[in-house]
Amino acid sequence: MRRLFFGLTTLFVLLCTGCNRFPLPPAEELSARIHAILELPSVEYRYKEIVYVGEQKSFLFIPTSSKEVLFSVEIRVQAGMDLQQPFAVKRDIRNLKKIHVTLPPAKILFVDVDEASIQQYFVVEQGSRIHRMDYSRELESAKQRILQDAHRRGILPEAEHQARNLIKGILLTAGFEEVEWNSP
Amino acid sequence: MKIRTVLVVLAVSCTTLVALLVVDRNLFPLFSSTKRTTASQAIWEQVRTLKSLQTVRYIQKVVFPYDYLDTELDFDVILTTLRRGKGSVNTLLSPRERDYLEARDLAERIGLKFTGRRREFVVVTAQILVGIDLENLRILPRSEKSILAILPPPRIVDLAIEDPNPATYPYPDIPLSPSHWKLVAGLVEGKIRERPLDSSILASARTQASRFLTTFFQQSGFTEIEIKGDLDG
Repeated sequence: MRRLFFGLTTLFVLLCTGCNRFPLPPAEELSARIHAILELPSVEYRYKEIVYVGEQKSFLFIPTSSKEVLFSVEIRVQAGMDLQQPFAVKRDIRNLKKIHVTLPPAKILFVDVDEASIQQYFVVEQGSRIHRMDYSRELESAKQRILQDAHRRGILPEAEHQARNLIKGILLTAGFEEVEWNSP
Repeated sequence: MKIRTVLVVLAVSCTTLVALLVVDRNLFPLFSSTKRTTASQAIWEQVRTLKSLQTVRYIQKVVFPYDYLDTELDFDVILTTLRRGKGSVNTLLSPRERDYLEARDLAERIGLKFTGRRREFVVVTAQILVGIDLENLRILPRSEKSILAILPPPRIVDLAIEDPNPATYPYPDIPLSPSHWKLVAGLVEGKIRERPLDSSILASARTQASRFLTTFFQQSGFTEIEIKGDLDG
């Protein structure tokens, strides 16, 4: 009888110990992890942009002066999530293996025109010269052109997609089985 | 009597727990045959699901023919080398000289005026996706909290030559037929594929990938992370 009692007690204790589920990390810890990931710029576009400046002046159809320059410049654009905006991580009440994540919107984090990378193809100056301000003006307009181009190519959705991929990877590794993305 | 009651309660409890074990083995990690996948294996699987990590999108504008007409080279010298030498163009000329010759030849064929006062050119836009092939990423866990990842070299994941759009082409227009445009675009694409990527683009791709993986591993609980580039390719 005693043997049976000890045997059953041991089995019961073993089964109860085995019943402990692996703890999933708390929402605060997950928020901190996700915040660290969101600090990374998720997408970078690099441009080799060509800038052309051409100006011709004439009087009575006779050319009086002309200036023309063609050069290339490297421009970098980085996009990532806007950490000024709030984001939220909530565990599902019904399903402990499911998590709801609300991400902030993506934004352009950085645009850099690398003036050291300028390479001139040719310059023509007849009766008129190209000034430093001409270059600066053209570089500024090239920067705006590149920003528009990056938006057109979908830099922001791409940044959001990359961030989601990374966060999903972390959450699945942490033991969650389903991630639901909510709009902010 | 008391012991009997306790025995009955224990027997019922054990039966219930065993029944639960049959229904869901995952509830009992001690008895689960699959056990918990180790962290590094799980991370490895997660990273692999991403397949390729696009790290840099490079939008390269090429000025045809000037990007290939190296000012340090002399056309007459190239012609003399070809006339006097024995062998094929590939053996007699350097890659830069071949680029010069091909670009100049095509520019003349399509009627571009690229010498003298009038300088005509075509700007060709190529979109190059540079990435890391995560299927070739090697992850070597060294201990529970330490990991080594060996990155494969960055490579061109995708390359596309874009058709010129009049709304976004801020350069002088020149007469060029569609067939001539196709020839120019073909030459530019071939040269991009032939030439190794610019070192700054490769460095940028590696940095982005390293930062991405370091953060990923840190957030997965690793404290010692080493990311190396695979020099063997």
